[in-house]
Amino acid sequence: MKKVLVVEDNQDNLRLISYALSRHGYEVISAETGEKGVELAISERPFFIIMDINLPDFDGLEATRRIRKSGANGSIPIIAITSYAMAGDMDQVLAAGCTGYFEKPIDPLTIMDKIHALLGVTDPHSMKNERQP
Amino acid sequence: MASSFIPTIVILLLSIIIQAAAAIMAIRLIRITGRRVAWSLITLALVLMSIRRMVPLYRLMTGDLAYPADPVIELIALVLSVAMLLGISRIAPLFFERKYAEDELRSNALEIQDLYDHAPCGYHSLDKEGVFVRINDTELEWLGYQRDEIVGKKRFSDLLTAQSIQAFQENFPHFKQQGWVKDLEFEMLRKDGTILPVLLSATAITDKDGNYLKSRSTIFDISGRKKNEESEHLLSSIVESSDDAIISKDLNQKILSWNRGAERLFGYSATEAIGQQITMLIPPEREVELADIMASIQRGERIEHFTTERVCKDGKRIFVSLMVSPIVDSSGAIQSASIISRNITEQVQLSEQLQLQHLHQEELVEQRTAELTERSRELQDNQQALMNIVDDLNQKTEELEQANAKLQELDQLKSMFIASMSHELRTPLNSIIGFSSILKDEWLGPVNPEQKDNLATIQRSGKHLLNLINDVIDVSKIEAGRIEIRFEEFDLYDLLTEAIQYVDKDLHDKGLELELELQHHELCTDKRRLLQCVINLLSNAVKFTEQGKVTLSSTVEAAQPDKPASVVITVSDTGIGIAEQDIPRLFKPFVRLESSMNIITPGTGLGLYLTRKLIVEVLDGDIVCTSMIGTGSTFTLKIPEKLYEKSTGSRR
Repeated sequence: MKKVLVVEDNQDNLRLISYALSRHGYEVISAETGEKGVELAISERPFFIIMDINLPDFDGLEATRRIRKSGANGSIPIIAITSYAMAGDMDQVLAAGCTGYFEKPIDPLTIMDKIHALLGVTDPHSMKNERQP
Repeated sequence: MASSFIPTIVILLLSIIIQAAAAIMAIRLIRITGRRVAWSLITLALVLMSIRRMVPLYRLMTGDLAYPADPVIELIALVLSVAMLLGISRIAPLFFERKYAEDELRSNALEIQDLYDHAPCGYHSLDKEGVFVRINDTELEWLGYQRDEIVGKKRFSDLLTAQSIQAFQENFPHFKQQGWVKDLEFEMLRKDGTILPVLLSATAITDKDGNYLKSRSTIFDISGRKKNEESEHLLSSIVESSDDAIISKDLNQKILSWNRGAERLFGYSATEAIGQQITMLIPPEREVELADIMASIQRGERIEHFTTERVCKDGKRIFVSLMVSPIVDSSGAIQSASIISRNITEQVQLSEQLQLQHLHQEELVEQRTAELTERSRELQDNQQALMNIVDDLNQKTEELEQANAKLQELDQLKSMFIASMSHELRTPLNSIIGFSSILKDEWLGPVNPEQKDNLATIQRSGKHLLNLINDVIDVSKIEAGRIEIRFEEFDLYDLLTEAIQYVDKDLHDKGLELELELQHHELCTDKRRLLQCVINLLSNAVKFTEQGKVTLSSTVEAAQPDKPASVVITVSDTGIGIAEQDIPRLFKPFVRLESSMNIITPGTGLGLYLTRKLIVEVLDGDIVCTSMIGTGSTFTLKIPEKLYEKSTGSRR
C-alpha cells in the first residue's frame, strides 16, 4: 500500500481525510505538528503529502520549505489545505513549494478525484472500492 | 573943637574919595548895564549916604555929642558930597563917553575886520574888470595864496577851471548889471592845482549914478557839500536800484520817499505815494501794529524781520518782512523812519503749504498709526485665533491620530476576524458536512432510508450554514476592501454549464423546465466570482418559481470605441415575481421581501446584495432586474469580457 502523510492538527479533519484516503487504498500516516511532519516526510517517504497550512508551531508553508530543502524527498508532491482567507495566499503556497492546494472545507466524497487529477495519477483502488457494498 | 576938627576933615576927605570911587564905578556900571539901572543905583547910594550924613547932624541937633562934629561942617560936607556925586556922575560919563566912543569905534573896527577876515566863508570884492580888490583870510587860506599874490594881481576868472570861467564870463556882466547874483557854483583852482567847488553869492556896490564899483562876494566851500551830494547821489541810487521796497515816512505816517522797489512792490508810483499816508498800504486788521512799531521807533529801537501783511494798489494782499529804523536828524531827534519791505508772500505761502502738508501728514500719520494699531490689534486677534485654531487642530490631529490608530486596530481586527472566521467557522462545518456525507454515502456501512434522510438534513444544513458564512465573509471582505480578484481565462459556456449543475437537481425536483441559450466565448475574469453570481441568480430563480421554466441565456456585445466587448447573461423565470416598489430594495443587504415563499425558502438576504457587489466591484459590470408580480422575473448581468489587471495585481 502506498503511504500518504497527512500533516493536520485537527482530529476531525484528519479522520475525514483518512476515510477518503483509506477508501482509495492508501495507508495514512499522520503528524500533528509541522516538525513531526517534516520528520515523517523524510523517514517514511510517503507517496504524497497532504499539508494543512494552519499548524500550531510553524505553519505548513515552512514545513513544506523544509521538506523541499531536505533534498532526499524534494520531489514529493505536497498538497496544501488552506482556509483561503487572504489575497496572495495562493502565490505564497505555490512559492513555498506546494504542488497544489485545496480550500477548506474539503468534501470527502470528491476530494480524492481532485487529488488524483492534480497529481495526474489514476486512482489505484477506484474500481475496487466502488464494488464494495 | 579944634582938636576934633582935623579928624573930622580927614574923615570927610576919605568919604569924598570913597564916593568918587563909587561914582567911577557907577559910570562903568552904566556902560555895562545901561543908564537907567546905574542912575537908580546912584540915587540909592546918594540916599544912603545922605541918611548916613544926617545921623550925626541929628545927633548934634539933639545935643548928643558922642561923635564930635560941627553941624555946619557936616552940613557943608553933606552938600559937597551930594554935589560931587552929581557932578562926577554927570561930567564923568561925558568925559568918559568920548573916550569910550573912541575905544568903541576902535574895537568895533577891529572886530569888524576880524569878522571879515576870519569869517567861515570867503569874502572878496572884484572891480569891474573882475580883479580882486579885497579878499579875506579865509578865502586866501582855502585857495592857498597870499594876499599880495591876489589883490590887484589876479582876476577872479584866473582862479577858475576852464568850465567855470565860461560860466563866470556869462554871469559877471549880468551881475554888474543886475547888482546881485545868488548861489552860483564855480570850481576854483587852488594854488596847488586842486579843485575847490564853491557857491558864490554877491551884491554890487554902485556909485550914486548906479555904476558898478565893486562887488561884495561870498564864497562857500561846498566841497563837503559836493561830497555829500555825491554820496547822497550814490546812496539814493543804491536805494533806487534796490529790489527791496525802501520807504521813509515821518512820525505822522506821511510818506517822504518811495524807491523803485516800492513802486514795483506796491504798484504806486513815487509821485502817487509821496505825501500820502502810509496807512494806505496797511490792511485794516493790521493797523494795530502801527502803534507798537511807532513806539519802538520813538525809543530809538530798530525793528527787524517783522512779518505782516500789506495791500497793493490793485488791492492784492502780500506778506512782507519789514525792517523799520528810526532816522535821527542832525540834532539827534527822531523825525522819521525808514522802512524796508521784502515780499515774502511766496515764502509764507510755501511755509503755510508746508505746515498744511505737515499737518496733513501728521493727520495721515495719525490715521495710519491708528490704522496700523487697529491692524496690529486685528493681527494680534487673528494670531490669537490662529493659535487657538492651531491648538484645536493639534488636539483634533491627536484625536484623529488616536481614531486612526483605533481604525487601524479595527482594520487589523477586521483582517484577523476575516481570517479567523474563515478558519474557525469552516473547520467544524467541514466536519459536519464531511462526516454526514460519508455516512450518507454508506462509506462506513449501510444506512436505512430514514437515516439517510436525517443525514441528508445534517448535510444540507451544514452546507447552508457554510453558504451563509461564506456570504458574510465575502461581504465583510468587500466592505473592508480586501476582496481579491483571481484572473482566469475560461469559456463562458463551461462556466454556465457548471453553474447549472449546482441547481439542476433542485430544478428537476421541483419539476421545472430549463431553457438554455448558451454560447462559447473566451473570457478573462474572476471565474469563481462570476460562477458565484450566476449560481445565486439561478438558485433564486428556482427558489421563487413553482411552475414553468427557468431560462439561462447569454449574448456578446461587440466592442465600442470607448468601451471593450461585454458579455450579457440573463436569468429569467416564471415565478412569483417582484412588486415594482420592491425592486429598488432588491440589492440592499438583509432585505427579504414579503412573500409566502419565505418560510419555505431560507435566505440570509445577503445573496443579491453580495451578487451585485461582486459584479460591480470585482467584475466591473452591472446587474438589473425587471419583474412583474405573478409573471416572473428577469435578472440581466453585463460584464466586460476582459478584466484588466492593475499594476498591483489585485483590486480593492
